[in-house]
Amino acid sequence: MSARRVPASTGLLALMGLIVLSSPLLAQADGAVAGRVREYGEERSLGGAQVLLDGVLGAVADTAGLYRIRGVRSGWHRVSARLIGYRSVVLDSVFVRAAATVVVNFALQPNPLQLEPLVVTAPVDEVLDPLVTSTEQKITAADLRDLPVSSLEEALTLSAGSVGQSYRGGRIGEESFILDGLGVKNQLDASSGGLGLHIPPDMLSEASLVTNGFSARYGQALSGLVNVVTLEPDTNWTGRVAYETDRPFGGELDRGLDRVAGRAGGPIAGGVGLVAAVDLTGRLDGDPVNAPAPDNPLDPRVAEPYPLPHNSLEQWNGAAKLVLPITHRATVRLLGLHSEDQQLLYDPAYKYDLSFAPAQRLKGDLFTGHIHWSSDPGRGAPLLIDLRVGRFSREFLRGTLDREVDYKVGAFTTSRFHFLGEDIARNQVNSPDPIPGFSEPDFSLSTPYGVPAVFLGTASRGDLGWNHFGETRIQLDATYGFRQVDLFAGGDFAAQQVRTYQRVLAYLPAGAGVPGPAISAFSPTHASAYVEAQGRFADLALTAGLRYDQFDGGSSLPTESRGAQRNVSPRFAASTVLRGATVVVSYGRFSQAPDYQFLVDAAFDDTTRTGRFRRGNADVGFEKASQFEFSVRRRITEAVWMRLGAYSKRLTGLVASVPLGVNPDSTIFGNADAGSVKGLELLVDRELRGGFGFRVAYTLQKAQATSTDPFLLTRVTSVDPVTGDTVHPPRAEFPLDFDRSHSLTVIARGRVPGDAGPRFLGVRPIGGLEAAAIFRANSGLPFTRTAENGDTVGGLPNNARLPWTTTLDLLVRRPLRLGGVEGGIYLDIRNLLDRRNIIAVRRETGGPQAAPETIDSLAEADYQAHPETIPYESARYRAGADLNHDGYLEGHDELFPLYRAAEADFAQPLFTYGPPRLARLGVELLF
Amino acid sequence: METLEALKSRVRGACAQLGVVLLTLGCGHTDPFTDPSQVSDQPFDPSPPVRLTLNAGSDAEAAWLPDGSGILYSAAQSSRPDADVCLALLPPSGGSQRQLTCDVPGGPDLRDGIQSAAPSSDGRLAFLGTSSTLNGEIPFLQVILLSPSLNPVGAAQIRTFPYTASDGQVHRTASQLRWLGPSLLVYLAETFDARRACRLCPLDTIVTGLAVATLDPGSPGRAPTVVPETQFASGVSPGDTPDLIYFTLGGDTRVFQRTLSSGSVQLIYDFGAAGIARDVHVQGSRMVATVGGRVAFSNDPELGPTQWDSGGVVHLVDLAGGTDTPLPGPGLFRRPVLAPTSDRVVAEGYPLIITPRLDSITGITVKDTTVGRNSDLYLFTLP
Repeated sequence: MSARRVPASTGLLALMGLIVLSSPLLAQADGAVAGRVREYGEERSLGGAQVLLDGVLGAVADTAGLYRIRGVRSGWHRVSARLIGYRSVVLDSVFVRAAATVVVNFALQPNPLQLEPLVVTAPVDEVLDPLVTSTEQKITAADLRDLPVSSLEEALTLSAGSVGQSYRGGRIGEESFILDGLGVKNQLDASSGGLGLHIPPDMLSEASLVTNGFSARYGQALSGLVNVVTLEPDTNWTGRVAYETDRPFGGELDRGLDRVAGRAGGPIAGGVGLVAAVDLTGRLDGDPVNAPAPDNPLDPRVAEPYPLPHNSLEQWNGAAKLVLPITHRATVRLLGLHSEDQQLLYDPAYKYDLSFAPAQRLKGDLFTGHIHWSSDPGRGAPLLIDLRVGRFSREFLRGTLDREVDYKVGAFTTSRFHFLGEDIARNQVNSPDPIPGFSEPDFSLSTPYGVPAVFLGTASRGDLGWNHFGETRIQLDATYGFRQVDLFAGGDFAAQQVRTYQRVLAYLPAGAGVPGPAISAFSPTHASAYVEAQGRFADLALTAGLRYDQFDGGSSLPTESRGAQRNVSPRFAASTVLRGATVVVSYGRFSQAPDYQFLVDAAFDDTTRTGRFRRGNADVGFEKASQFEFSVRRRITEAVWMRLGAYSKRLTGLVASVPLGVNPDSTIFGNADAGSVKGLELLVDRELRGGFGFRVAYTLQKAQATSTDPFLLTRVTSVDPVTGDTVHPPRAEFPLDFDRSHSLTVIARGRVPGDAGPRFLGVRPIGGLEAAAIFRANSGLPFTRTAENGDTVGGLPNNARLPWTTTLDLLVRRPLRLGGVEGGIYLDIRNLLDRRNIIAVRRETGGPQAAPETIDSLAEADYQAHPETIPYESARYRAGADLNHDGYLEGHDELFPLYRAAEADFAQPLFTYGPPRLARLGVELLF
Repeated sequence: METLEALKSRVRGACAQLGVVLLTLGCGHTDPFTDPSQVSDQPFDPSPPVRLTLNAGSDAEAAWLPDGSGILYSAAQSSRPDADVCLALLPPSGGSQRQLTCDVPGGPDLRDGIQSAAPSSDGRLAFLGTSSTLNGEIPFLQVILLSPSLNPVGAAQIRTFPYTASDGQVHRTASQLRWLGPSLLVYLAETFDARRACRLCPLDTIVTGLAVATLDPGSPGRAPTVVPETQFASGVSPGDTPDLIYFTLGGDTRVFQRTLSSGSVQLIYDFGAAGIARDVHVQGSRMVATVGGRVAFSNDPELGPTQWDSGGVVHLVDLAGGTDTPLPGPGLFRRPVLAPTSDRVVAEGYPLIITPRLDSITGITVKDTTVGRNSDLYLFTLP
């Protein structure tokens, strides 16, 4: 195909015609290589020069010597330029990043003799590339290996502007996940449930967090995009096996960690390549905390504070990718990804009857197929077409296990958890009958205090929750190169399935105050289309795009549904190079369909005394944001570059609880929240040169809105006692839950030359040693201070702040050669200084501890509820409390101290503290 | 390109070394804390006879587990809002309850009772379940239930009360439910009446035996069988074989043995002057029974011939030698049960309450002795 045969306008129209309705996430797993070919020592452009990518013709320079190779897979490439009469130049090891253009200029020497090509290391500088208009923070496979992080999720938290999985002050779930160009999102409950997919780190080529200015290709996100590119099979069989554990450390440093990771990949036959990776993690203490040991000698945690029991995590992640080249210009890629998390959840109420504490299982599967086709670069304007299809499914279960967990190795059970009523939930049985296997819980008999208070036993709470989200997506992207302008267009369509089941008090029949099963089943659809143009004119680059999104909740409530919701989002960006710095200005409007959980009724635990029920709303529309960003990138020295960015984001239409009347339970989900996020980000990066490198990321931010959570009802409507009028309080903005004012992350890396240091027994112990440290200092997140009775202490929500937190993580690696096999041993220590960070507090005290008066008050209430005498033979009798040794625990003097001790035990803070010092020793072998 | 063999070789090398690493690091993980046991295997006071329970409510109708590893009994929970009679399990020598199951058969909104628990040698549990409203004084439900395990929750009904037996008597309730082999239950069929001694007096329930009956739990619809010649029975015990029962009769000092298949009846022992015998239980060559004490057999205008029983003395009889040994203890006792090993007996003990009273005629302080209404369990260790 050539421009002559198919005019550009016709091509575009044809492409647009292919896009029927469209979709949200078009991700870029590919980058581009562009530049100019000229004669060495001259400014004369060498039109007609051929530029090859990995030995295959990628582009032919135009008369100005300019060329551009689009759709280049992320990773290392060999780029060369050749022209008859000139000596070829080969740039080895050009690293192409996803969604980025690498500028590679060639200067060819006249060469009447057929000399060998000149091979040079590519001096590539993307920092100053004005075509990079988005605010991206990259994480490479090397980062994941070299830094004290274990997963992509952990690595992303190193990015400026991230607070856990909240980006730039947004709520959880305001980001989108793009895997090899295909959008994947848990549209059911992203704000509370997570994606359910974890990519084995060994499978990663690179990942990036895009927090603003993202292309019109991207949708379904307000705060950020996580763009992940998986590894391609190598030309040789290579692999890695690693095992890490904390077993050798013993004591509190042993939290029951075992992790096995492996990868193998290479050619199979006929150019077909395969790469597969697994990552198995087991932790007996899956959510470790740095809480102090209790001082109550009756508490069994006094002797063994850690690990916490019934707190294990078992995670299984596996991925495989098959690459089948069909022709030089077309390639098929098939990817399968499976993730499974099983967790036992430590519940303080079941501290003494752990087998009844809850557990959960989250399973995610993704299968994608991708066909990439590119036109012949030697013939006219290039055209690239990517067709992707994917099937994503996610299943979540939470409830009571039907049997005790049998650990085989560490926290690995090697079998799937089974829950009471699992089949009933999965089949969405709408029956009012009690679920077999459940029974009514009673106060525990196993506590050191005996008295019937606080701690539960004999049975679980009777909760069962299950949901399933499935999505089949087809996505088409096209890139058309027209002179110095790249035109992008595409769209996608997704058919989704939502199934949920929730039951509480499952040991009782429904009715008479016991709610029946909450079941929903509906099939939304989602579509999007976009068109975008990006051009470079000397040092000025302009990008403009338009995106269209629509979704139809497919609600089962046809009388309330108003059909499809639609939204159009424009995006603009301009960048140029001024005085050696690249200046980028971007503006965009972004939208995302709300979590489908807001289309159905929700019952939940609520500590804000504002009700426990929200009515679903089939008319909930898009959540929207407008973002403006100004950033400057500059290379300070050859090795050091910096980026300074300021952004302002306006959020509108976020889902919130809207009061319908004076009853706090009379609320409905609606697009009622609005807010703003303003911030400043500074990034300074020194590349690893001379054995040393660092990165500093600092964010100053202010995020406010009229609500912080879809379930939080902050505007409680009241009735004026005098006039009888219904009073709607004014809407006021207050800090969002993830409004972190200051966050500082410093990453330092060092590497000792292999021949450095003294030699002992033929070995240089410190030679080749690698180390990386991450220091984090973050100001506290907001929380709502209340009085002891739960009333807010005169003010808006989130009117107080948690204290600062700091951590220092360290990884030291010593490469080794074991029996002819390359490998290494590494020590990874998190929170090296064992700092006790407070990440949550009790609202009434502002600290982790409950007030003694509160405990006394609760204990007195417990005693008044159960003042009965406890005889000797009762399993509740505790001899130590029998002051007169008469065989009875009787009266306030004997019983109240037990109730008080029970309340104090229950109130002791655990998960209000962050992780403690954690260590792991790892061994890896490369083959 | 590397050959597959070379690759395999390298993988094998890597795996071998990884195996060494795993072995090197193969030490166990630190265990999380475990809950120290809060229960006791020792009684509060080991002085004989050992008082096993100190409950404010009545503890009654004890039954040994077939392997002797525990004692099931009915424990009245007076502190519960529903005042259930729950099923409790004690260690064989006393100590803390290992199980306490309430709300069976009715649920938390009813006053339930689990009575006359009968564990079988194959792990099943038969019992009498009763339910009344929270303010009700007469159960509206009395039923024999069978559970496949020692957990009474979810047990199936196999016989409801009242029913009219083959001899025309109306059996309103049952006690001393026991297994007669693996497929037959035997019990004391009873009738009862609830009345007040005075207008403001608490309601008193008078229960008296009508006959010994057997029930096939495998045929829930089938009517119970009345054992002939057991009219006004006051106690029943399985014998060594499923064909043999021991029983006592109201107002009678004798213990009889009956062979069910042949219908032959034998006098086994006569307590004679010691008094009326009831609540017989036989294990091997030993027999226990409640004898004498505060017991009377008379004709009640409502119930007919009725045995009024406030307890007596536990007697141990060596059936082989014919020796009778009274077992001394505080107060009066009812329903003694021999352990499977025949070396211990559990019985309901009722305290004697001695109240000083000034005689208005003589002016002398006299002592009134009454029997407490609430019983506790006592353990006798036999010689």
